[in-house]
Amino acid sequence: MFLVTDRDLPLNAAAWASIYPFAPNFPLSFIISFYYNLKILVQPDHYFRILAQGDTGMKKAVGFRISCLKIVLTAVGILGILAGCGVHKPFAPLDDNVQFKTGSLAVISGDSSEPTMVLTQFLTQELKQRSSYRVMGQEEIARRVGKYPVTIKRAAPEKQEKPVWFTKGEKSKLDAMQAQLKTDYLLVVWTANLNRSIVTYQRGGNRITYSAWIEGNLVEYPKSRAVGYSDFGNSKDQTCCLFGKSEGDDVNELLKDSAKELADEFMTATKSEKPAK
Amino acid sequence: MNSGLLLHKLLVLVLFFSFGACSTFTTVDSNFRAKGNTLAVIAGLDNEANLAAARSMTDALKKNSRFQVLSQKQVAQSLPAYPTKIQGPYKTAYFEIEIDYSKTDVKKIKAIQQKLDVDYVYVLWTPSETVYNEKIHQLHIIAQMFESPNAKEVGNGKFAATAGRTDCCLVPAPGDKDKADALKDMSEYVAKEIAEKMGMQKKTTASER
Repeated sequence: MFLVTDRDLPLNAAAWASIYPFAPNFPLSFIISFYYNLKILVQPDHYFRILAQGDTGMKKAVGFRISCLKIVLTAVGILGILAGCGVHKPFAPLDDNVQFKTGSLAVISGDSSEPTMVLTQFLTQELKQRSSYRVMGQEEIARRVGKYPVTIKRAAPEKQEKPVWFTKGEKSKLDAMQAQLKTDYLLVVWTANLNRSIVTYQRGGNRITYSAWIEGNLVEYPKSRAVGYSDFGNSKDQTCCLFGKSEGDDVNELLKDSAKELADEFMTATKSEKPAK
Repeated sequence: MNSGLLLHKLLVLVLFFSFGACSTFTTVDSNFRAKGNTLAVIAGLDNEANLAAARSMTDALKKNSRFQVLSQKQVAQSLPAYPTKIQGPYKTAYFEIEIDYSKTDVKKIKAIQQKLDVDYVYVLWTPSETVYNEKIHQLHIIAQMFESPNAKEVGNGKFAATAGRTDCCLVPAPGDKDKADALKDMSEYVAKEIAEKMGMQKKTTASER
């Protein structure tokens, strides 16, 4: 995936050069005018720490966490992503020798942000309907676990090509959940960098695109080890407004498509797709 | 100036002025006047941003109205597992909040009101936060005011705490203090409007006049 910001243009000249072959008919000046007209809205999935002056004069930490990734997507860049430039692994085993067993599964929302919780709901529905796993519903998870969702913090994985997103310290939260849920697997998912990008064309008009990045890990029990991962992005052009839908509907569709894609790859890897009736 | 740059400048201006230009609290009945004077601010979601907003609003209402406002500590002591998730008045909340006041879990709010034994409960939800070109941060908030004893909605509003005034490349991104100040400023503005529309403004003394 190309990460390019206003300040990074000179540093990413090589990146631009590499995507140019995908758009041989676009003059370079046209691409650069796209670039400088890009406006991005990023919805962070993290919180940032802010300090508020308390009545006693003691600084108190209160919580916002905010994403600090900078993303600029051009129409050509999106084509590059869809053409397979960069990582796109809806689900894959962490080890080629992993043997997946049938049994029970709970899909866990890795944080309490709206996009992650919505993705988790869609993924739960997909796997319940189409896989041979016994998939626990989100309401049942909340009932058994109590406070749900809780944030499972992510850190940069040791191996980017086979990522385990959570740290050992955070894994204990998953283990504690599994002790309540008693499922054979936990599939924990996060959304990152839900974006709305507006590309303004020099000749008038604009194009609005939504994109999100999905990360996940499958943890098997009782061994309590990560055996699978997800690491992919998706995007969708805006269709609301023209057809009477809302922007939220467009984002929901993006998340639903992402859930379906993850579920498809998961069932292929685990050989757990229900036979067609 | 090309149309793209003009649109950009207009958008920044809209973001900057939207904080002050729109009403942040509207009573359901324009002739409404508060009957009681005890109030509690409740975080509608169990995330830290929501708790911060509830604390800020508690302080602002104490300072700018005649309501006797419970502290967040008192609220937490009275409500087990505070804050908990309360379904809020929105359909979706990604980049903006898509309002639907019929979606609120009024039953849960009524139970909270009975436990706290206050005349009014002001519930705040912060379901989304957006960043514009890294430089303009907005915490989006939607809120409803409920009156005892049946959690009848008497007012509502949608607003945002905005930190950062321009996305110009030469201007640094807002820091933690900027965001805290934005939340405080927003709370003061909203609290004054609540006090005015509910007839609970602080009486000014002769020296203040």
